[in-house]
Amino acid sequence: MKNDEKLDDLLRRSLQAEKTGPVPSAQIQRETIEKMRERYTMLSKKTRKSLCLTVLGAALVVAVPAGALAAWQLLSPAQIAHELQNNALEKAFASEEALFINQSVQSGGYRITLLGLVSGAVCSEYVPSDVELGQDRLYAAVAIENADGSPMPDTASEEYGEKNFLVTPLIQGQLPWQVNIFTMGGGYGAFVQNGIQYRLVECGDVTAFADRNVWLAVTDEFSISNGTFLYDETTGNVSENPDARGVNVLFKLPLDAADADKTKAEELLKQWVGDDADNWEYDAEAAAAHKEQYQNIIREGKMQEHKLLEQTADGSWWYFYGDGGEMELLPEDAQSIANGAMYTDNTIIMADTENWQAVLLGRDEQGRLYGELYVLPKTAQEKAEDEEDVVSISIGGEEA
Amino acid sequence: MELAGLEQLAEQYGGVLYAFCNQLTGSRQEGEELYQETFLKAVELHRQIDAVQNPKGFLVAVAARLWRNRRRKYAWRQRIAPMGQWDEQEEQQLTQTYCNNPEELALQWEQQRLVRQAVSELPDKWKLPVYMYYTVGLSIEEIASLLRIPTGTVKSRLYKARKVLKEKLEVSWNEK
Repeated sequence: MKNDEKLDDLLRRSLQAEKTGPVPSAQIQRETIEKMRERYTMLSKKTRKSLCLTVLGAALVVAVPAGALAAWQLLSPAQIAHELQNNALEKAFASEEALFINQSVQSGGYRITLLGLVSGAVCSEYVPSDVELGQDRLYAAVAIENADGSPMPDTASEEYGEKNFLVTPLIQGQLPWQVNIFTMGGGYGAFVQNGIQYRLVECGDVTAFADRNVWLAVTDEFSISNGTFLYDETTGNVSENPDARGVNVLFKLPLDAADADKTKAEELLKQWVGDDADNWEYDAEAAAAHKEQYQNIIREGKMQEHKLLEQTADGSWWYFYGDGGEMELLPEDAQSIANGAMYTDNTIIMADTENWQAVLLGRDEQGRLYGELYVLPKTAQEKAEDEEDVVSISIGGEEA
Repeated sequence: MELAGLEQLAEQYGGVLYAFCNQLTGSRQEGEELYQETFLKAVELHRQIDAVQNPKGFLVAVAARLWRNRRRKYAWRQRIAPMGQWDEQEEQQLTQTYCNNPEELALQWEQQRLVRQAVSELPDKWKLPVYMYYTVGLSIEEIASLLRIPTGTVKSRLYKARKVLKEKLEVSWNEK
């Protein structure tokens, strides 16, 4: 067994939950369930009370009677709210105070329509006066259809869960993978009618950010990563990713800059992102430096070996290199490599005390997948820095 | 996801999440606190869980984020008074056993204890992917998605963690 495999096996035996536990005691489980029930009950009451709705960007209100949408066979936001049994939201969307967008975009084989928006605030007309009001929220009504007109799978069907859609606000100047519906604590309700999927999305109230660009993004990815949408470091603007293979849509929200509130915006960001978000932040500069270092090793280093990749039963490809090294190439990543091309997503750099190492994966002109190991000797300064790192790690310090 | 579904999640993934929380915090008491906080947070986010295809991963990501945001509090409490570390009996129960020979059993227990200790001493950036990969059994792609970092970064951190662990464990075993 290779050394890496031995360590891997030892780590699994020592850490794997199913085999080593510990397991929660019956008392802990009981307490946890009771607390969950209390919290759930509390939230249910809060949801019924926090139906606070008001107008967004009054200058851009377009009051469109529900009947006009029949041309696209789409429900109105009020009808969507009705189907989801949200009476106050239904009334708000049916009023002239709602903002109707009715903008459709085709992407990734789907037609996405942003139907309308209402923002969170006190709205006594729709909420009883004796009810405690909750946090401000933004509600967006969205329709999702198959571009070829075939029906979307019903929510009760097995196929429903096979395709994921993520609808989230994104804010200028905020990293999309850091500030989105997940960090805002949002959610949605959905149903399918006449083959069209409708969603009522609830998320953090972004009107406080109305003095900057705010978008409602739609993607079919599981979450927002640093490649889902493009982020301009200079302007803070977000744009669609032209290389995205699936749904990748941005609707710019017509917010009224007069509604911006810098103080509230700062508070919301603290709430969503937290105080020590730095360690989760994608460091574009560091990523670029890392990529440059990788390319330098390939460029300036010496190729130590060239081997063909081996395929395992699950379809993955493996490059076994050097003394016990291994690198996996997933089937879908392998398929993306054309004949005569290199795999550009790998920028892993390895090192020992003397050398930097980098692996280059590619496909030759005959269509065979190969791996090459490049080695570049470390400079004296790099070796000296290594010694400092080892000391830092061994005393439990943060990575240098 | 309604309450019944959430309770089902607690039943189905409670064991994995509990082990993850305990290993991440390094303390039984803090692990239990983090465990309960995670499920309470899951209640608040219950509507998101409907959209998530990997509820186990979702819960682990919630726990990781809560721990990350609260680790300073935990570190402070640890300096004042170390709390609820596993005692020797609990540690022995954690050891996955492969034989009935008492001597070999003791060796296995010691070896795995050293491994767990070595992992707990890793920097946070490496420790988290290690627990997510080995304790919870998430794939690299799942870890990347949940931590919102590229898959290459996950692989790199796991690689670095294994390298350091290998060196540390070799030193420990050579000293004994």
